[in-house]
Amino acid sequence: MDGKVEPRDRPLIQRRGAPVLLLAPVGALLLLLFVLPQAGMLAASLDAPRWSFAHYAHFLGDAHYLGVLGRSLLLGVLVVAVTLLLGLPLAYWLARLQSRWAPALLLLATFPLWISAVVRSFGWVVLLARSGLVSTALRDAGLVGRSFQLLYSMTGVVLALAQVLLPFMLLSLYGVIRAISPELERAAQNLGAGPLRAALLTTLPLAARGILSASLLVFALSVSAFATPSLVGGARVQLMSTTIYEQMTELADWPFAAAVAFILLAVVGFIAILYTRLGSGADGVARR
Amino acid sequence: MNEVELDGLTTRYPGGGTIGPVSLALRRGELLSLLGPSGCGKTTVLRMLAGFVPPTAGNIRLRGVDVTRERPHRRGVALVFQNFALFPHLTVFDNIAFGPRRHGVARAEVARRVERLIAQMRLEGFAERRPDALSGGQQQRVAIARALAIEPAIVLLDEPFSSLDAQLRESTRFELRALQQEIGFTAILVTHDQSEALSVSDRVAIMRAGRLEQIGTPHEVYHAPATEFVAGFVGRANKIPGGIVRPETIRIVAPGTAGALSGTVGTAAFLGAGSEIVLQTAGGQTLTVATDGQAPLRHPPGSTIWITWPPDAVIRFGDSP
Amino acid sequence: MMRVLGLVSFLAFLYLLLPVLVVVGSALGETSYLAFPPHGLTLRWFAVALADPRYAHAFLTSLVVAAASTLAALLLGLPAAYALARFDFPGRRFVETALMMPLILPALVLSIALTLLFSRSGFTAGTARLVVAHLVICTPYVVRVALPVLQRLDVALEEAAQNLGASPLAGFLLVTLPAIRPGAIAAATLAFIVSFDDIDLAIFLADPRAPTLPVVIYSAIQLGIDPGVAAISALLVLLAGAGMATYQILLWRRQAA
Repeated sequence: MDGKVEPRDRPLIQRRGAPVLLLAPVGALLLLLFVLPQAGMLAASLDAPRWSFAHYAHFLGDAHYLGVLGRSLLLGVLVVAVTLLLGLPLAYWLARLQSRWAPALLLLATFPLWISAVVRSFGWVVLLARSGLVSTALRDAGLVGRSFQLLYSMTGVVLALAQVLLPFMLLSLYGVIRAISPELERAAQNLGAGPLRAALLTTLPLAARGILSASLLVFALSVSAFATPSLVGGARVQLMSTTIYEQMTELADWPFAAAVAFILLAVVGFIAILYTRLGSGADGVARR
Repeated sequence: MNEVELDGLTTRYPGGGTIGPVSLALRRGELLSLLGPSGCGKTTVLRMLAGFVPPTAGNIRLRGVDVTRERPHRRGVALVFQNFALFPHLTVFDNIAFGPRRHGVARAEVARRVERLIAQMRLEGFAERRPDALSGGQQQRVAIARALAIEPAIVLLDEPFSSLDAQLRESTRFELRALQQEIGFTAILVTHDQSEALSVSDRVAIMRAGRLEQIGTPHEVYHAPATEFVAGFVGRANKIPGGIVRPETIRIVAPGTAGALSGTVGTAAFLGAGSEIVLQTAGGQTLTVATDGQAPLRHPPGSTIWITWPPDAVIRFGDSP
Repeated sequence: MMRVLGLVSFLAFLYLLLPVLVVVGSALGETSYLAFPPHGLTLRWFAVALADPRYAHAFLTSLVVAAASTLAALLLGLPAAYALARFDFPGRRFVETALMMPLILPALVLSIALTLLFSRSGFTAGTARLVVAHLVICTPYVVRVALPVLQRLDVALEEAAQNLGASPLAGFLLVTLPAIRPGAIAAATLAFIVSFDDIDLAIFLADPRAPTLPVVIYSAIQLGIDPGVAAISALLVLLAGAGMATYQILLWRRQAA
């Protein structure tokens, strides 16, 4: 193409009529089936029309439930730690790989995302059970007693959930690191830094925003997770999501369940606001 | 009656800056080139004609009918896009047939039109191909055929040759002109290439920074430019007191000839068919001379050279041709 | 350093794929109790699972729900993506963010909220409730996939269509949609899988008499794991593989076009 093309900035069409029509269905969907129900849930938790904070007082005044909240937050922190520990090196390695297999490997790494959480958790139940691979390996290594199993323990939940959410972390970090030119590291190496230092001094600071953003996402997803903690943790690991389920089904205390759910929503909502403020992280590089 | 009339057409860029007022009138069968540098607004004028940019003032009349407020799909204009914008999922036949079908033309007539255009545009055998299986030149012919298929009042071509190879550009431009004259359609051609505009147009309209500087035949704009900008944009111009003088009218003469200027040769470039010598006179003027191919040998850089030009070669702005 | 990284990456890969391998592997074992690595190899558990009416019905239900949700999500999401891609209007950023919310905020909470809403308003028709709920999470995915595809599409194509006489709607149907077909199918594939795999919404909103497959598997795991469950889970892994392959092929083809 001839480079001397007249610069034609084709801004988006400035119109008000048509987009409203096109967006109305989605808008109605979100309003009626997303915002409204959760507002209604809030109302139910406040015992509308009586309007009392009894259920919230019940939750926040009980050490047991505060422990549940704390455990969920701890779960989030631990899962973020594990996924970062494994995800950052993997993302870096994939992003810098100069092989034609790189896209295929990324695909393979994110394949688990396409499988239901229930099925993935099933795999972990098998692995972490007394007779499972993980427990047997630990027993053979002499690290644990005969009847040890990681199933139905917090550690097991962390392990399982981290695997479930690792692809999210991986995808986000991969995008961020890809956006940072490897030239920077080469320049640093040229100036005398070893490969590790070069990466730590150049790529890492630039990726910081993206790493934070990805961590917020994984944290939010961990705190919200239901299927995996429920199947792998069982009744022994009490988290917000399993408590809500319990209250809704076995105990049938819907207003209290609504209150717990709203507290969970508030926590994740706060994280979500931080996340959207931060942007996706990859563009944070360009803005510097 | 004029086929196309633009009357004081004006619009504003979102970021500020005005295009217009632009006033033009074309007769049926005329090809007018809208010529100007990048960013002068010529494509915007085209898009206003096509209905994609709303004018803030002015009118557009096609065959006497005011179409200023008409939506893009209801005008009688056909646009040939710079990158052709052929529908990738349709064959050549269906691309060309797209317009007539939207206009409710009967099946038999659609087929007739498309086949005739395929023959006229030398696209026989390509009817069932997809655009990605065509060369740049073929794609362009399909784009033009597609435009002609709706039998528009006017065909608008937006830099139609810029995405073609340099070699193809020249032959294609003459083909287009021949076709335009044979079929007799009215056309506005937007381009930044002055040789293109001069070689195929009935008239040329030169634009700069949103305004029309001059409209005239190629001969008029070249020999009687209205402004210094036009003089410099259409062909090269040597600035002299009182006006300009074109490089090809300057003659090299024997040293000491009466009334001649002397100067030192700065560069002497051999161009194949001719050459170009740039010299600096004692008075500090820089002049470019276009002459024969042997000149660089006779007048190498650093040598002294004597030049002159006939008095009627001087072009003063606003002159009549 | 790349070597150390390579090693860590290999371990990470193993960690990522281990449960998947376990599911498929344990379904192949001869024993009637689950073992991994499996003892012996057989396909009979797949036959058992496929013959089990519970699984067959649940699979069908999941299929129907996913198909319906996908169709509806496309009808809602594609026009929305088009509006966001082509028009500049006040609140555009807000709409984009709002559309992301169902993907970040807990689906379980939405599940509770919808359960409360539906029972209060008397909307008790089982499977329809789940389709409606899935709409909320599937539509944002459709928009997310279709939006960049539409943004990459040359506007000139639509302008050409209009210039030649097509109304904006005709242009969208005759030119835009066919031009983004691979991207639209990719979006549909993603929406389908999201609906099919869902457990957070299904656990409360599926019809108790006609549960979806993830719900059935969930209950089965809690009752006690056996190779039948493993087999049906392995089939889901296959389905996921097919979905991902379709999605990637379509997106790659899109880029080559």
